[in-house]
Amino acid sequence: MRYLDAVTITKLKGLRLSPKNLTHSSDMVGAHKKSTRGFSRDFFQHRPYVPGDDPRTLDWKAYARFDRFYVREFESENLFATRIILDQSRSMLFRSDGNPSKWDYACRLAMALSWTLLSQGDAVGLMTISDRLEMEIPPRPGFPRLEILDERLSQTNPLGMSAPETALPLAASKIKKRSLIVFISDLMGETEQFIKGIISLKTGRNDVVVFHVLDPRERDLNFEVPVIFDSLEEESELAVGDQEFRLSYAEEFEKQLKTYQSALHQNQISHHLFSTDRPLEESFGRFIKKSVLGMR
Amino acid sequence: MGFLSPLILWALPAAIIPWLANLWIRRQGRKIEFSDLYLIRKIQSQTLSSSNLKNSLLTFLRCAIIFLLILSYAGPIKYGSATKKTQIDLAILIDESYSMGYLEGGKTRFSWLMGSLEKLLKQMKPQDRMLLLPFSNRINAEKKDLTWESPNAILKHLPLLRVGYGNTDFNIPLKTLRALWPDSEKEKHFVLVLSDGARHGFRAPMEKLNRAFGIDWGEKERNDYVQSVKILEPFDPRHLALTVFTRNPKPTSLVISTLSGQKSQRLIPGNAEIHANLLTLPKTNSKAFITGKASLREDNLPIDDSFFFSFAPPNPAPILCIYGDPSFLEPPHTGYFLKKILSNSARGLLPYSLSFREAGPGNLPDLSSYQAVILAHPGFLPPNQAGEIRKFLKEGKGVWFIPGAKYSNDDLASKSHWLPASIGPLVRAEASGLKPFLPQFGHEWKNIDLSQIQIARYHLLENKNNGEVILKSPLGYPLFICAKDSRACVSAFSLGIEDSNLAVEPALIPFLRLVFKKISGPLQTPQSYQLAIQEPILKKWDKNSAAPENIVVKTPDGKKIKLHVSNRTVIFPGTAIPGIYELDAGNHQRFFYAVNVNRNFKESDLTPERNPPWKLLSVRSWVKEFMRNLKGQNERSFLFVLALAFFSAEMLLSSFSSKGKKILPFLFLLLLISPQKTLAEDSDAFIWTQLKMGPNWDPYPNAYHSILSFVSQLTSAPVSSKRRVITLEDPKLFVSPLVILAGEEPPEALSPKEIRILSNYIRAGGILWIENDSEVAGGDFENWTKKTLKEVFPQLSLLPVKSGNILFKTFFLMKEAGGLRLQNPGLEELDYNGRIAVIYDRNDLLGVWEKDALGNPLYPAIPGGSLQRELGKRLTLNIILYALTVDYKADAVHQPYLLEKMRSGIP
Repeated sequence: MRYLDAVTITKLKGLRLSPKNLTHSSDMVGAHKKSTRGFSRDFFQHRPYVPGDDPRTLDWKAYARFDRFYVREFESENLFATRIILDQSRSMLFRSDGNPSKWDYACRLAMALSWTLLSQGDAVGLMTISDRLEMEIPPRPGFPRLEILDERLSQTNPLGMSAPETALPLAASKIKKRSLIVFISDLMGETEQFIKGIISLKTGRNDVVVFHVLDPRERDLNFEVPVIFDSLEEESELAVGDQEFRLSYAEEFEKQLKTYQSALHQNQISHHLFSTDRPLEESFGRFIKKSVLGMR
Repeated sequence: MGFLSPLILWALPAAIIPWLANLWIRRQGRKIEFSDLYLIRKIQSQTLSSSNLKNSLLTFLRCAIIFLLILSYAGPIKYGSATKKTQIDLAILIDESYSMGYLEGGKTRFSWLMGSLEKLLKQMKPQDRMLLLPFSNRINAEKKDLTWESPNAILKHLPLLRVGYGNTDFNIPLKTLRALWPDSEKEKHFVLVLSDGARHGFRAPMEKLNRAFGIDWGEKERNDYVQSVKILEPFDPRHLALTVFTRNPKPTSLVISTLSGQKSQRLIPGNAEIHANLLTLPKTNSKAFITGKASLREDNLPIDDSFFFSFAPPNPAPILCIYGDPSFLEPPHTGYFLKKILSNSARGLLPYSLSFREAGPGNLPDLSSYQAVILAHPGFLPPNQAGEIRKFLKEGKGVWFIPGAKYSNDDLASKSHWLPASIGPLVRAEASGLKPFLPQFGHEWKNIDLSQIQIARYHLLENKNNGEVILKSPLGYPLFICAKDSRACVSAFSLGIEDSNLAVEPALIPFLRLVFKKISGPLQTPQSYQLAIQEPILKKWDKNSAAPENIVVKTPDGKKIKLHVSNRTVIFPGTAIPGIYELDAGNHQRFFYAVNVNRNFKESDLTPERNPPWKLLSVRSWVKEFMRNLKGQNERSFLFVLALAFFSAEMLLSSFSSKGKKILPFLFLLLLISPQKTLAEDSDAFIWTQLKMGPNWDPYPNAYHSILSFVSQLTSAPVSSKRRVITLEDPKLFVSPLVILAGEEPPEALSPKEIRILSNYIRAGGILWIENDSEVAGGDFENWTKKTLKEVFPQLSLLPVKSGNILFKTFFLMKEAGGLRLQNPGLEELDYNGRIAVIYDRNDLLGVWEKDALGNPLYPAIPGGSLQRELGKRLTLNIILYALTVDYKADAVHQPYLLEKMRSGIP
């Protein structure tokens, strides 16, 4: 597979992702415990019988012992669907020397996430967006999905401009069932529009996680001046001849990052930063650890 | 405006290099594809304006620095009005009026100007022509002296000039100049007016002068002065009227003292103009001179703080009193009172002298010497006497008729036709008091209570020819009538106690003054004996008084001058200083003349004229400003400093970028280092050291600049840019290898201690270079030099420097000496222990170095011109190098090494 190699899989083995506060409504039986009682092999508790309980759940052994009717309750286990939304705008093509492009990184991230989820038995779907919805693979469980995802991603190249305020609501409208939505993007563009778009995903009972993929040069703008910046998405250029511009940029970038973090936090959306100069497994592992611990 | 090297201006386009570079660098940026420009654009929109501004400012500054540097290298010159002239004609007008004695900082304005004029003259070239024109309200020089002279000749005139006692009148010297110069030449000459430029000097409107310069003193003069002292009318020797101007804000005191030792003092407010009757002396002899001085506390201009005054009292008018009643002169009759009052005229109550004569038959005495006649109870007047009196009246003189008690009708009829009233019978007065007077009688009557005057009886008077009734009884009967067409008056009563109490009332004096004024006409005014300075004393004796043969004039400075009186007249012309001049004619006849500086033209008012017809130069730097106006100014250093300022601004501006924090401490370090660096320089560099001895120890104050830059250009000897000026007792003498003593006039003879120091210095290895800059060969300076050297080295003497001497080898190889003036022998030396210890030069070596503002030599080298000047320059350098290396070149120890090196082919 192009975006998932054996080494990565080895490193991802043993990682489990379980959305803590997902209250599932899925009828599919999956790997995730549910607060409602259901049908699984894990015994949960005994409960005194009340009329109307299914007589099959009566614990006859307990009746024999205590001369009272008790009902056996089992934990319910659930399968949840995860939708990965990948930003396919041309800005994702950016790469600095020695680092993979954000697009590659994002694809590998998506595949790693998919592998983790599929290995848990969950369903994974994929959407790619630019200023519109480019591609959609509905969520299904099972490893064969992985092959399909990789194949489709390999055929896809970033194109077009990012327009999250139109594309994301469109994607959200496609998601009928409650899911975990993972939005992988560089969030490069107008801050407000991104925030607006991401918040639109939060409608319904979806859980949203944002994987913010960045190239280190995008954070510090560490280029030798003078330099002319050519936009990947649009036909425009900007000349910068000033060394101190970098300082202002870095400052402004951090400000933007803080804006994202605080706006997303307020909307109970978790935000995770991925830098393309860090090994993917390490960053991903850190994300898993955080989410296991319930940290956003 | 012009440039010394205009070719360099072709480099001016280089000034746009920073701008081009900026453009190029901007275009030169690497192109990078970047994910999104949203943030970058946002930041640029925030910082673009300030960063653009900074960028353009930096570019501008860099362009300006290069521009200014190129301009300054091109040698910009602001041309003065005489930059291109080889010769300048300058008329110097020196104000010698007394207001130039105004003290500023302990020196008079005049001496300030003389001091700086000397500096100016020293900066002029020898070929410039000067015309010195001292003036006040006249030209203080002989006509033959008004010629063009060299600056040096003018310098010799300067010590002779003094502040005088005249007034300023600018028109007079300017008129003289106009007469000296034809109109065609007028525009070519420069005029320098050294004056206080006060308004009082502009008596007539003047046309604007094109090339004239004056001095601006600022507006801080505060001069108090006494403008005038006069005597009041009617004459009263006790009252003087003064006019005083005070310009100082503080009150001052005014003291008036007379020759007879009387004194009066008063406090005068500041900033005021005062017209006051100030002196009230106690008793004074009305016949004596009123002479003295009114003086204010001395201020910056002392001469006008005192005013000398002298007045002779008027001669009393002679009046004859003819009386008929023999008891007239006894108390309590009229004559007694008249005699008492007028004979006691020492009190000065009434300035009349009265003589008495009893009436009788025969002719009257010669009436022509009298001003008026009083006829008191004359009884019957014989027709001849009445005719004489009528004639007397017709001559315009006066008669006062006082009727007595016993008169026959005939008596009265003999007078009635020429009296203004006919006299009727004697009647008793109806009531006490008098009818109030007409107001014109004056202030003397103001305090007199008329109701206290009682007239007991009077003659009824019948006003005949519409005469003027002066006194009236309470019911309106006339008591005193004066004729309209003559000076005849009639009173209806006598002053005797039997008729009235007027004689014992305070009203008597005013009454008599009134009457005497009516009959004898206006009084003689007191004679003023006040003269302006330089005005001759002229004394004439009239025919009536005896003229002395000789008189003695005592001047205020104590001199006594005897003069012969010829033709009853004597003239004393020498009123040269202000003060009291006493003219002693012997026989207790003394006259006092007060001589003051002329105050009529407001000389003491120092308010400066704001729009004089010349250009004003600030007094502190007028010489510099004048030279700048005349010769122009090299603006190179100004532009260079400006470029430096721009450079600092550029550094500061660019240091605000990210690296700024690193540059600022560096700048501080630079500031800290620079003074230490100069100290270090002084310790091992050659310092031009001059001895400050004698009146003109520094004839060429700027020569050392040129010399040192010459040395540093041509040799690798380190030189200090500063010079050291020392005396013999300065310990720095012993760290100076070469000491220069220059001058024209000899210094004072050296003390034994100084001789010892000089001897120690030379014996210890120092070299003394003596420059004789006097134009004439030898002279006092040379005598002094030889005498001093004899004292230092009794065994040794100066010898001429011959060609081949080490001084002609140390740097330049020379055959002969140069200098500004060649003399023979020009250069002498004194050998001590095989080295030259003293160099004595007559050729004026330093003079070749002095330059004008444009860098051209100030003085011509005579007779050899520029070659001789060049030799002089080379010799100077040789002397300095000799002082640094001694005979390094003579022993030629280095030659074998050099030859060896050349042979070996090592480059």
